[in-house]
Amino acid sequence: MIRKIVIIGAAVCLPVIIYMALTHGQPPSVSFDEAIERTQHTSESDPAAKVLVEAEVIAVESASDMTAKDSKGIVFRVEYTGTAPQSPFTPGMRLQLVGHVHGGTPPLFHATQALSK
Amino acid sequence: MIGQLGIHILFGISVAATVMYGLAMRRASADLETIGRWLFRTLTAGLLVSAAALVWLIVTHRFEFTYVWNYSSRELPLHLLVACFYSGQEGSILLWTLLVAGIGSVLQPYARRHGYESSVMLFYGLILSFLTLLMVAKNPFAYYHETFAANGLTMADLPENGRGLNPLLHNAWITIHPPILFTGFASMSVSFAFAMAGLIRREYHRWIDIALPWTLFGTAVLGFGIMLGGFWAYETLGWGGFWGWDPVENSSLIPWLVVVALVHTMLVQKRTRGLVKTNMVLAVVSFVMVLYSTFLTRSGVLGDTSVHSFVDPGKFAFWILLIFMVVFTILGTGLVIARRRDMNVNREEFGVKTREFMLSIGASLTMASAVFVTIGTSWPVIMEVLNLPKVAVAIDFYNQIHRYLVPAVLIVNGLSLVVLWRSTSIDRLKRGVLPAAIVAVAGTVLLAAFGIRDLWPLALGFAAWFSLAINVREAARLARSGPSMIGAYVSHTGIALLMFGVICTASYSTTYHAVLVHGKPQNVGPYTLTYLGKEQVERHFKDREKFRYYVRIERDGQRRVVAPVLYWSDFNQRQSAFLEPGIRWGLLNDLYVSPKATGREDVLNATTIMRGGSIKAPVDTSLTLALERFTMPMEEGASVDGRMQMAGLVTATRNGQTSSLRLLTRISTTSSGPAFDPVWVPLPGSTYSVGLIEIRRNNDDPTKSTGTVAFYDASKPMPRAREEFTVEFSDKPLISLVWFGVIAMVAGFGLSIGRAVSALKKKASLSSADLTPAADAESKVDQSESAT
Repeated sequence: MIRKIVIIGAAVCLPVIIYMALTHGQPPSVSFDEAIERTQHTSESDPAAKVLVEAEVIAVESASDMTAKDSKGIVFRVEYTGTAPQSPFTPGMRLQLVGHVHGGTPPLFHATQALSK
Repeated sequence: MIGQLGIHILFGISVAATVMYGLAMRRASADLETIGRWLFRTLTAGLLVSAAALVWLIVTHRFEFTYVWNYSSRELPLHLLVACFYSGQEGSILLWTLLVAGIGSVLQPYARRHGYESSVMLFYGLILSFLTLLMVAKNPFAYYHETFAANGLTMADLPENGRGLNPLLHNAWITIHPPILFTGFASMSVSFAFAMAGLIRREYHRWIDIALPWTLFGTAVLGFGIMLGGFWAYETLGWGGFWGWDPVENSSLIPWLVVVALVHTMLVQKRTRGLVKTNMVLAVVSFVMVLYSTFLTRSGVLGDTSVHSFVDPGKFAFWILLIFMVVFTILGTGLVIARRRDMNVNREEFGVKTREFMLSIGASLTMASAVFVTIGTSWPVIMEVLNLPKVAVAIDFYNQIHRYLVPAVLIVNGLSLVVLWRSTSIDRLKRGVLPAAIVAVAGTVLLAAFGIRDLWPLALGFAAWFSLAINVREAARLARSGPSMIGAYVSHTGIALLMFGVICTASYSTTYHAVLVHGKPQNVGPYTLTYLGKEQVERHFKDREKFRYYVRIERDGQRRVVAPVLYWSDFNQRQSAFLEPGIRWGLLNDLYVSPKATGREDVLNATTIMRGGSIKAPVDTSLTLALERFTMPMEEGASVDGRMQMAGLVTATRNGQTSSLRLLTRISTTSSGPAFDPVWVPLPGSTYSVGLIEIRRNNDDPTKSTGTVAFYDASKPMPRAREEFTVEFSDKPLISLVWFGVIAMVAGFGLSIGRAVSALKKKASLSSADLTPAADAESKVDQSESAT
């Protein structure tokens, strides 16, 4: 009986848990200025929450520095510290950048992951 | 060189000890066992010497060693210097290995007494072989000039001072929490080694008796370590709460949940001889989860998904960690599968109204929690593998799941103590459940009367009252037989108290955001808070100016002063502030002042203007000020008193009349950034003066640089800006129940360990010793009845 309960429980609960993880483990897709706005709700000691910004690469300064433009046309600097991309970043490439904004003048987007669209 | 060589030798000794024990077991050779024993003792002594050497190198500031340079500095007091030993990856792996070996040196004679030495120490040696190999990869005795040889450093380039210990770790908890947590981790190896030995020897029941005290010990110590971590986060790190579902917290919780389930299923096997395979599997899983959690938190795979910082261990260590985990998973599951038919000797169904059934359900629920927390913690890794956004799941994920699981566990816990082994009459069930249910209903009504309306806290409250009522009743009944009899009940009571603490803090805590001006009392909820001033502390640290901010809390004539801390440090390039809360501790409530920011009162009507932009003067709206540009003033000179001088060229327009203003400001560099000292200029047609108090240069696009101007009435004395201290102030009712609950839980485990050990000492009656809770006379099982 215990075995049946465990098997049925696992069969019912696991898909629910994975669905819940999917809904709770997605970064909000925002524009760069919305990402900046979100940082203003965090305290000085807390890291800003991770967000996803869809962007197009405009210029690549180095392997970790580039300039990108979001869907609203806002141009911003990107500092990339994720794993080396399969193909190097090139202007015109469309990316989903996962990371957070660093304050300062001007603010920059610290991307820890870049997914090709 | 000696240190590095020593680590390699220790790896060799651990492999040799493992091989000797393996051969001793295979050939049943006492001589080989003796060699294995001496090799193991040598290994333990060698690890002890290595640890002592590392501590000595740290205390004597030998910065020629990379580890010493990386984690310590001359300014640190002795207790923190000692803690530097395990503050980095290399040292913490050495500590873990040392503790595994230390526990092994107690385990060795114990296993020998029970005839399990070679089989248990074979697996124990294998664990130590991997740990010492990890030490080879993360050698704490690497030289500074070797580590940075690629940067052209030579032996002559000795650093004067170390980088120092992370300021967050500068407190007493660093000296207590990691060693206890690692002791818990290390003790998880024991039940695994006994289970493996039991599988090899085909002794599927005996290992339970022998391993139970160790399993209880591991559960108690790891639970205590987790609680200390929560207390540290609450008391010092200013995270606001005691549990944040952070990957590092979860990585300790997962093995603990598994071992809690194991303890209960071991008790079932002890009484019924059932759940044989379950116990083997859980013993394997509890250890593998220690390895998996270590892999998650030390391999760098979780990267930036935690409030804890992670260091990339390098590819070699990454692969060792991965292989370590995979090998023991395959070894454990392989042995269980190989012996599965052998173990399948006593398959019987547990009746629903039996303790074995309830304990099994309780263990299943606990395991479910472990599985769900594992999924949540691993989520960023799963997402990365699937090439999806790598983000940690929100805290709500864990909270929502446990809204159902925790009340269920508490109800099952209560029921498991009411029912008997083998079978229970309906009458007894009613007699046991009804009074507790009445208490639970009354308690829940009480919670509702105090304003709790949400379903979850009410359900949790009902379950906690139910469990508490039954445990207290049973504990009172058995206390006459001696305190060692009530260990389980004390533990369960502790869990119920902990849950009450969670309910109260989650439902009744009130939090306010307040900007406190120096010397000015401010009403914050029912309290009055006054920022009294600040005091610099720990001046000997050159990387920071650390201040304690005194805040007075008043209510109903009672006054208390708390002293939160906020500072910036070069340690993290001043990227974010270091915070420590100020707490007024109380039995009924804690008043928690969490610092957020510091600043100065705006008494000068400060306004920011973008270059090329204009504003209406806040003190005179008929006056428009336009910022033309910034310039280095040629007439006045580029510097004054060693300070750089800049000017903002401003055009003032009133009623069509325009005049030019040259706003000079002197800039000096301070530890917290540039400081501006303006030269005040009278505004035309006004008693007010204007000054440039800040310039923010936009390096990418200088046309977007900004200036901040301030105004004051020059006919009056210059107003003095008072300091501001921004805080988050919380009133946390009955949070003390959380701490008392955990202490009771650990104390209960302590009592149970004492009972298990004393029962084992009675060797003659070992087979009939009853270590399970509530040894009900009427439910005694004749061992022969269920013997295989």
